[in-house]
Amino acid sequence: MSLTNPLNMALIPPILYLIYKAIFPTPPSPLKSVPTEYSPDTYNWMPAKHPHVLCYKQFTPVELAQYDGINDPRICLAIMRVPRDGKIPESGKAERTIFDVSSGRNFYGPDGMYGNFAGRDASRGMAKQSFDDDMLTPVDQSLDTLADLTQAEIDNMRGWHEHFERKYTVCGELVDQKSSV
Amino acid sequence: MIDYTVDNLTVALLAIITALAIYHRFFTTALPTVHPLLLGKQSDVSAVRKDGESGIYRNWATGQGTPFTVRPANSLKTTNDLVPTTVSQAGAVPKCILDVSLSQEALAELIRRFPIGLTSLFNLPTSNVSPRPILVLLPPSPVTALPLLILQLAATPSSPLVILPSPKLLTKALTPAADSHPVPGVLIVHQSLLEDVLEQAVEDCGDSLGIMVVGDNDKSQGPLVERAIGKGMKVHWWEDVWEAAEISLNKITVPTAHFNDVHSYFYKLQEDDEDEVPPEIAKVTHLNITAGVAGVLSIFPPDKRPSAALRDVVASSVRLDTPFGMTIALASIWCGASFRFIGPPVPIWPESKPTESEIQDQLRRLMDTDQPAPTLLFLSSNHAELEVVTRRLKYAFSSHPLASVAAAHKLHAIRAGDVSKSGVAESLVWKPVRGKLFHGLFLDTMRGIVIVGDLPLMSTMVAAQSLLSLPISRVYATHLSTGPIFASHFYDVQSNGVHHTALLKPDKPSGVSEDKEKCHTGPPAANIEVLLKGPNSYVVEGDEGGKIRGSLWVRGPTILERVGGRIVEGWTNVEAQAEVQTNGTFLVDH
Repeated sequence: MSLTNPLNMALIPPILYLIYKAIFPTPPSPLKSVPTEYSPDTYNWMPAKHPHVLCYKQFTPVELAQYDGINDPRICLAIMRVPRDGKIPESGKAERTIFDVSSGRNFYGPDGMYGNFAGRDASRGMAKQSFDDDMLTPVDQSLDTLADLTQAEIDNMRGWHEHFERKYTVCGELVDQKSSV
Repeated sequence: MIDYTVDNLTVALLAIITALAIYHRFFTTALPTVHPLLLGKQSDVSAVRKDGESGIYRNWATGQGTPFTVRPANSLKTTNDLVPTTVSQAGAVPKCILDVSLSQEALAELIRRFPIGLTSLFNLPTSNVSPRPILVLLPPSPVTALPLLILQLAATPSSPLVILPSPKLLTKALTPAADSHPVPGVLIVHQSLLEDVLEQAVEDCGDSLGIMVVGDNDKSQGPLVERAIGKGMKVHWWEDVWEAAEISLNKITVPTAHFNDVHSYFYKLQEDDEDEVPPEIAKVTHLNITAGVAGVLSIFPPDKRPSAALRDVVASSVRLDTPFGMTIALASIWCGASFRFIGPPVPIWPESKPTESEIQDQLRRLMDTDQPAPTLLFLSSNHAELEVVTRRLKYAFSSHPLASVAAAHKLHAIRAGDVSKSGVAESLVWKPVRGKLFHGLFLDTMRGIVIVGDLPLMSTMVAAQSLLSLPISRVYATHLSTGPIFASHFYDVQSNGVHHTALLKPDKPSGVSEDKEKCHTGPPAANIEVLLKGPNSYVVEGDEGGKIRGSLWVRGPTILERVGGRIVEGWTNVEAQAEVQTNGTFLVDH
């Protein structure tokens, strides 16, 4: 056991170097750029992007039809909000809330059970609990006034609207023509 | 051929190398005090926004959809509940309340008697039907802070407070507009202003306004007071209220407050304070105050909050004649901590910011031997106290022989997210440096510092955290809030870092562009939601890395009603510009 052993001599410098670096570390330099992704060795980081936020706006039936999960990855549908008195105005002019149901792709996506409703006004279908094509109004026509719904069907539609409000994001309103405001 | 023999020494040396390598790999990098994933998402933004606006931001811990905290405990409904009347053992222990030794029991008794005495002296109303406010004009100082605090704790709905930050607003307060607040019934004023005030009071109110004089223990203004009494004015000394309370204790009943009752009105001194410009007045209810107390406490993690058990002493330089300054004091009282005010020893109305030597004197005075040392500091960035402290500490630190080594170790620790008072360097270098300055204010007792107001430079913040070995929180509050609007995470020490020479040579700029970079002020406080409005308040789809900035609108139980102001769908414009970063923290322009 001797320091004249060249192997032992060769091990001394790395030991001294490691001890030196432990006591006298190189000071950290200011970061030139902040990492944009988290990693276990990184404390100072900032995400690259802001969280995505939908913009609430008015849609016409033609614009809404884009969001069917095929032309656009987002899936939206509209359901009329029943006024407080529980009756639909004769003109059919009540708010038609648009819901972003992209998280329910299994139901409302192209291959889903209720895929018919994607990108459309689903008010009549929700009221009558029917997913047939004749529940939907063609997009080039005016909005369905829903004047022929019975009170039970109106209440049913209201229930579905409340359910969708709890479960999905409200992202707009369906209108025949956009207001100038 | 050299004969390589592996002997016992070789094995020992290899073991040492292995141990050192393991040490370097696992033990030289400090563990962060808060996980960086939490710092990457500090706000929760709403899923939908309106056109021309950003999403609605809330604190990540609060989340969207949950109701806001309006009080820290169910038992705290009004300011009368801040000092409990039932006394525990802890409540009997005297605390330092604004440089006076008072137990909780004694403070509760003062608060109970004060409104009775005041009502008796000035014949104030005892019902809420026609309130007669109490106008308060006291200069910011530790000497006048206790009367102001008693007034704030003892305010009744029949006599809410009207608090003025400057004598320039006196006439506007004595002759208020119909929709601002009722005409005051009493003016509480410091003896230094008495002569001018008497003249103004007679001119504006005749003899209908009572005057109470504070801070004249020697009764030097006696002749003036007697002259005023002779002219039919009601003038009393502050000390008279206790005698009057003793006499009227069982004869007068003051109304109890409801949390929706008005507690006080705060005037704001504006830069262009012309006679034609109506003053900005904030109306404070008891609910605003209890929500503000909850907001102040949420700045701290649960184990770091002011506490009687930890014998905490909160010292604040935020003026008590501001809503947030008042709430800091009330929150400290409620937690059972002591409270001290950092201000000029002589009650004067400040014409300009304090000088560096004045700030140093005020901080040193906190270490008077007969008063307990502060453990938590609230520093107003308007007074540049942090910059003064950092500059002085840097100067002392740079002359230490081990400064370079200690700076390297500390900056590594901060880069990894750890700021603590542990390690060899702490006892060899940092503590001796701190012990030499400000009479040891920043030694062992200090455990938290909060900067209120303007954001400090990133370089100053990193230097302060290194020199003080403390994480430093940043809080943004306005005249229109009793609690913080933004509050940084208590353990957030993220930064781009500074060159280590910035700690060693304090007069030389660090020479890097980060010198101008300001710190963020954190996400929205626990009971606030925030909205930005303007053309740049949202990012275009596909450019989610773009900047989001706009005018700052806020909503929450700590936001005050601006008298005559406009609230849009519950939102209040605090008239500041702000930018939100991708991690949900905000930068406010000043």
